[in-house]
Amino acid sequence: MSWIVRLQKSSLGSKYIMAITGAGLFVFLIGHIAGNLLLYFGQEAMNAYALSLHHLPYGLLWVARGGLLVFALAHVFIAYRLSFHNRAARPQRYQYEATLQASFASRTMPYTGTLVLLFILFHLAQFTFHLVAYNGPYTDSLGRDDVYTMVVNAFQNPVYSVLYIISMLVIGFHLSHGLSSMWQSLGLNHQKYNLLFRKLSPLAGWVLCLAAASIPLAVLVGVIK
Amino acid sequence: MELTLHVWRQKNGQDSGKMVTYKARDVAPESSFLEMLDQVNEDLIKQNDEPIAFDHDCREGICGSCSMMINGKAHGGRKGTTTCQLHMRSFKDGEQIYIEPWRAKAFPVVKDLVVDRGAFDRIISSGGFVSVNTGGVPDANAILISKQSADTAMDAAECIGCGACVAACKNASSMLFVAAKVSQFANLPQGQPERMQRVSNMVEQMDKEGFGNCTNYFECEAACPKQISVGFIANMNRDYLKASLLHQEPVGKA
Repeated sequence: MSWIVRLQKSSLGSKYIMAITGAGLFVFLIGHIAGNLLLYFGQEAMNAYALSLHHLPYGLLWVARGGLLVFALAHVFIAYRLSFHNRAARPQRYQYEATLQASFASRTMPYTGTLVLLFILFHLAQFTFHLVAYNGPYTDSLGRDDVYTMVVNAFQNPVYSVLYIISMLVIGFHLSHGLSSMWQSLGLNHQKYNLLFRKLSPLAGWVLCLAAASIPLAVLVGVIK
Repeated sequence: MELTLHVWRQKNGQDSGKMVTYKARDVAPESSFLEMLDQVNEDLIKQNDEPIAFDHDCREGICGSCSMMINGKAHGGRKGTTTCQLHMRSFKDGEQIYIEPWRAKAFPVVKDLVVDRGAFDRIISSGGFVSVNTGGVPDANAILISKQSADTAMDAAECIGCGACVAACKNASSMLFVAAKVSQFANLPQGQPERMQRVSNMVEQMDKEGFGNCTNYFECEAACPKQISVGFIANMNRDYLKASLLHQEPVGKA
């Protein structure tokens, strides 16, 4: 087992973990946002979907939640450890700083990452634990959890809808670098597939985040009521 | 040309150092950056001042000695160019130029613009070689190598170990250097016997030296005077993953 400890501590091992957990979190995000796009199909579709998630067989919901938590914790822990090492590797900064080709997103990963973490904590506190900015409980005419009304009510307040839209853009930036970086970290760089690795992957991240941002925007302008 | 230089001056490793401003007068546009510094140093010597210390050797872009950040860019940021091959015609008359040493924990400043790049030597000693037995000269064409492999190995072997990749990286990471040194052998049949052990040892030594990690933002590739591709970093990542997961010691006896 000592080799696993050594591997996760090494610079490259840390990057493998960042890539794999990042990819896992992205897969979750696809499911999460696709599910929530059901808001466009009305109260019945959204609430039925939410209920079906809670009744997944074999306790799959908890398996998914557990896996998600492990992935998220590993991603955050290793990210901060890497950032700490990176700062230590350059104790004295340059007086004159310049870059030649690094993108804005790639230079700000620790910052966008921290903002995403804060957003996730707020998002959980609001919609999962109902601790902040929650005016519920909400129940629909069939006695189900009324996820639809909960989300629409929250987003009718421009403070929350704007906060969510901005957060989606921050996640977009984080993903635009992360989704291309993960391939390189795992050693996947190939002339024939670099279009996928460097262009299509960041594009997929942006499409997903803009789709998610469209939900609070749609509520704000009254497309979803 | 007349230029204003802001140069990092530091007496030794213990000194805290600071930026000092100098005027460079009557600079010929066709002189190289190092020749311009030589000229400034002559003036300093005439004034009984300590000349600016900087590393240099071949002055034809192949030794990797000259190393300085010029306006925040390693070797001045001109594509595929070392400081010694950078000419003053790349600058405007009256320009302000900031000159600093490579900044990395693993590259301590020795004096002014000179840093100790011994960390690179220790990484090479840890595995950047092939073991060759002594004996008769082997036949030149006994081992077949495809042109494509030979070219790829040569592209990696172009690395002159100047350290621009470390200097340009916001994390002071030496991935591009190590990747080039790993890949020049990984692409040749002669490098295969020690391939897994080599990448493990070199990455381990790189981490020990206190270099940072790779964010894949590819400043190293843009700063590299030999235009080494980050594709080699992917190569190293792949080999290290394989070595970590699959490489084992000799099976031995039951």
